[in-house]
Amino acid sequence: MKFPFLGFGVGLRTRHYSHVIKDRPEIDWFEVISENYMVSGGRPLFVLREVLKHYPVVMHGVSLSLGSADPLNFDYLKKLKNLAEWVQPAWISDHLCWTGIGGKNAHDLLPLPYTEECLAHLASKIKQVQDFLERPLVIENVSSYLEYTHSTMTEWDFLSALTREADCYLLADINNIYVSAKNHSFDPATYLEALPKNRVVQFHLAGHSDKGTHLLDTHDHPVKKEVWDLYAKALKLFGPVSTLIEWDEHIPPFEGLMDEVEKAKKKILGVYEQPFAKNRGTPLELHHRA
Amino acid sequence: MNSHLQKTEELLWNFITAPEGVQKAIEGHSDADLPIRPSTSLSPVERLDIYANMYFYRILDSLREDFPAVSKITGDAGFHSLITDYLIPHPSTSYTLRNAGKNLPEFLKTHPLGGKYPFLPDLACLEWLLIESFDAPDNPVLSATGLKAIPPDQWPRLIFKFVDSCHLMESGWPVGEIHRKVKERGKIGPVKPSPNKLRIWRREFKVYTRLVDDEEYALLKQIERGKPFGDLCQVYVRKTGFKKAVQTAAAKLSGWLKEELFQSTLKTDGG
Repeated sequence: MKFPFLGFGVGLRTRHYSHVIKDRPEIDWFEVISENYMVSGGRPLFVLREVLKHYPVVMHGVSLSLGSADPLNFDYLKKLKNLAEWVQPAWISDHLCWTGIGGKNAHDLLPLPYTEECLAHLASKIKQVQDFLERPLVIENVSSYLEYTHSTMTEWDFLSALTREADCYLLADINNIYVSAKNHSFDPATYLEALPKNRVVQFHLAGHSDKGTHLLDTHDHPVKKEVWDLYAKALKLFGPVSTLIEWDEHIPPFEGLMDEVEKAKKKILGVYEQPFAKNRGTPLELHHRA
Repeated sequence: MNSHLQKTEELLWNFITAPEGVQKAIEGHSDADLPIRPSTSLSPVERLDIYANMYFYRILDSLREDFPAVSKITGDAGFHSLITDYLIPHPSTSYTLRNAGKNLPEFLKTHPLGGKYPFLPDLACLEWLLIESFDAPDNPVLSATGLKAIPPDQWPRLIFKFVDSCHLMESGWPVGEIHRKVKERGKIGPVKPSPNKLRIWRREFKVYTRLVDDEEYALLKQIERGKPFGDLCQVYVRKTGFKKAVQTAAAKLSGWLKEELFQSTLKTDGG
């Protein structure tokens, strides 16, 4: 399976709807929160229809709850599949987490214990989802604020094993790696280096907040310097990977997001001699500076 | 499935959603029950607290956006208590936060805040209908031109169907006015009971609320029940005679068509 390098994108948010439709900003692609468009009608679907005319779109879900001990929700999956058939996204992603149990939903990305039992459970569910959607699934690491005493492997080993067991792909959220690394006292570079090179198809970049006792993934700030540095390392390790700026609270005008996009582009130029060309799956020849 | 994973998730769920807070919920559990490692700066309970706060405040913030008038009237502390109480019997069971408040209007009927502000359940109902209308299916609408294409002799048997975003609501309180005042001024004065009949619907992407009189409401309810146009005219025939009745009903119909209240697909009674 080849995933195209889409370039640099941002999340499609309500605040920017009018600007995106009217002014058609020069952004390479958009990521949409799948659940926000699993509705019957109205403005969200109109806006998405307009966006689809001009930009590639990736669908990013928050409610698949792959790690829940509950069975998969096929009503949800049918809606997701219907949306995907219409949107024809470059890919579909969701998270390495559970969001609820017993049919209830916390609407939060809750961390999982990294055990063999959980790995087998998750791999089985991802395979079911991929079969149902008839497309591969891309899994994102979450920021976490707790660890389980009975985890028997690291998150990066768990993710690597998951890609082998479930034949799925990865969305490496660079900010989440950094946040979790600080909260759980591990080296974020070790995490990145351990991820399988041929499985990472997307990066997320976002801002976080320092709460003194822990870092919180708030998506309400520009990307922090430490995360940019980690991103530069990720670029060296993984090459041209579609990159997205996430901003969900205190969302700035679109130009504010573009400033972050420009920074990401500069980071790439700091690593490679030539800017990446957008493509639809053709491997790129890289000219590494190092 | 009764696995270790399930037990872990059920335990965590009970801790982070406990209305009394993690510390109290954890009482009676031994350290061995708590499968959480401490960090260099946080205890297991403090780490769980982060998730407990995110659980509650994410839903609270979402419901505050969905029920702005209810939250203004009850105030920060009141709305906080209301949602704390609401989430006990009504945790979210949907894949989307959009549906988290669907039981709030009914819940308010038996909540102390519904006793303090007796109009609150109906106000919550209005705010919920605004949400339902906002993302209801898009329907092709019936235009005057479309209607004129139908031979006049078929009109008495025509059955109009509301667009999916259209809702009718009846209250013993002036909820339309309360909602408007809270939106414009952020507060309301004393409220007296007063019958209110409302029509809520969406044109393009804007949701409208309109106060309608008893006569119009009765006609709209007839349409909602699937009664043909001829039956609607009969309401006026009894009052004004046939010729005037047809004119009056046609005038009403013309207004509704301009407001894009009906779907373009028409049925005929018995056809």
